[in-house]
Amino acid sequence: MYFEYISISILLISLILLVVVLGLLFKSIKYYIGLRKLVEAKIKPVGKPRKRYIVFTALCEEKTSLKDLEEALREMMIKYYGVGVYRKASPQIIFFDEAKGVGVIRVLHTCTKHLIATLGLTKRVGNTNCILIPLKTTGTLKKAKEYIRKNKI
Amino acid sequence: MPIKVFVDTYVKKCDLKTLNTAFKLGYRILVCEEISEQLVSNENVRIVKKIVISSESTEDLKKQLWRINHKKYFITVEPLSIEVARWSAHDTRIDSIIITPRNIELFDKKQIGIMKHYSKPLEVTLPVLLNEGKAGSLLYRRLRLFASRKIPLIASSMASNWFELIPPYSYIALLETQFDIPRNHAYTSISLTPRVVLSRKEVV
Repeated sequence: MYFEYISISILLISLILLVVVLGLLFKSIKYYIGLRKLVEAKIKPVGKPRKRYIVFTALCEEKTSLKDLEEALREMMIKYYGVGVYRKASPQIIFFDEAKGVGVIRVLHTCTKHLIATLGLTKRVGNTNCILIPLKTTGTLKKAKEYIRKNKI
Repeated sequence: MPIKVFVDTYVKKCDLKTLNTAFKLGYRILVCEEISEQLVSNENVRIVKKIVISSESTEDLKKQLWRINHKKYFITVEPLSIEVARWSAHDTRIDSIIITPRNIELFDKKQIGIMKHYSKPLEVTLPVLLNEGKAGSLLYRRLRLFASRKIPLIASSMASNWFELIPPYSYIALLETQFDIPRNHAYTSISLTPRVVLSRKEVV
């Protein structure tokens, strides 16, 4: 009789211990997952780097050259977003009509917004005051050129 | 997505060149502090006069407001004391409260609560946003707090010349990338919010 009571109490204690251990295990798993999420970078991998083409127009006091424009954009992007973003974005002016002041810039798809903001912040190209207006973002150069042709910019 | 009618609520000096450039950029309403002679609103761009009041005491602010016809002007207050900041948050004659490096520390949680209750917009200008000093990081935290509480934001250029104006989509991108303000909130800050404020007046 005495042994029965002891065995039942041991069984109960072992059950309670099992529940506590299981609870602690689940808690530790939860902490581990949380910690892993914190440690791992939140940014999703870009995957295949895609390009975007931004059509823009320059409203300037005087005519501007392609070289001055590239230099001004580089300076402004580094000033506001740093060298890292500039390297990743690698903006390239692939077409610029100096007479009309219309051009197309190629940029990495994740940095499109950074370049649009930089275009707006650029106020001086070479020695002239300028406003660079982003007009359209396209996925191909063909579409960008078609946009310029259709809208007669 | 809100309508594509953009408003620049703070232009220091308006002349014909500024007006034409603003139209090319996509702005349809300009709120100017100083309007050059013979310049009137046209079909393309409408002009509204702006008055900015900097004040340290409510008595002084009340005196200045008493003289102004608030139905005809866009009234912005730059509070320089907590008393003025709290008071201007609930006064219906005041259209917006401007944040500058001088008064940035007045915008605490209590002020945010009052502004939320009276849905008073917070105005921020481009030179303040591009501030590289200590105020820059302080402004980031304040703007994030304002955005999270969904308090209406008004973004303006504070341009004195035509080339100081900023294209609307560049402004949205700037708010998104540098201040982590959601796109919709950034979009409404230069389109819907200023239009709502102006619709209460007899000017537009």
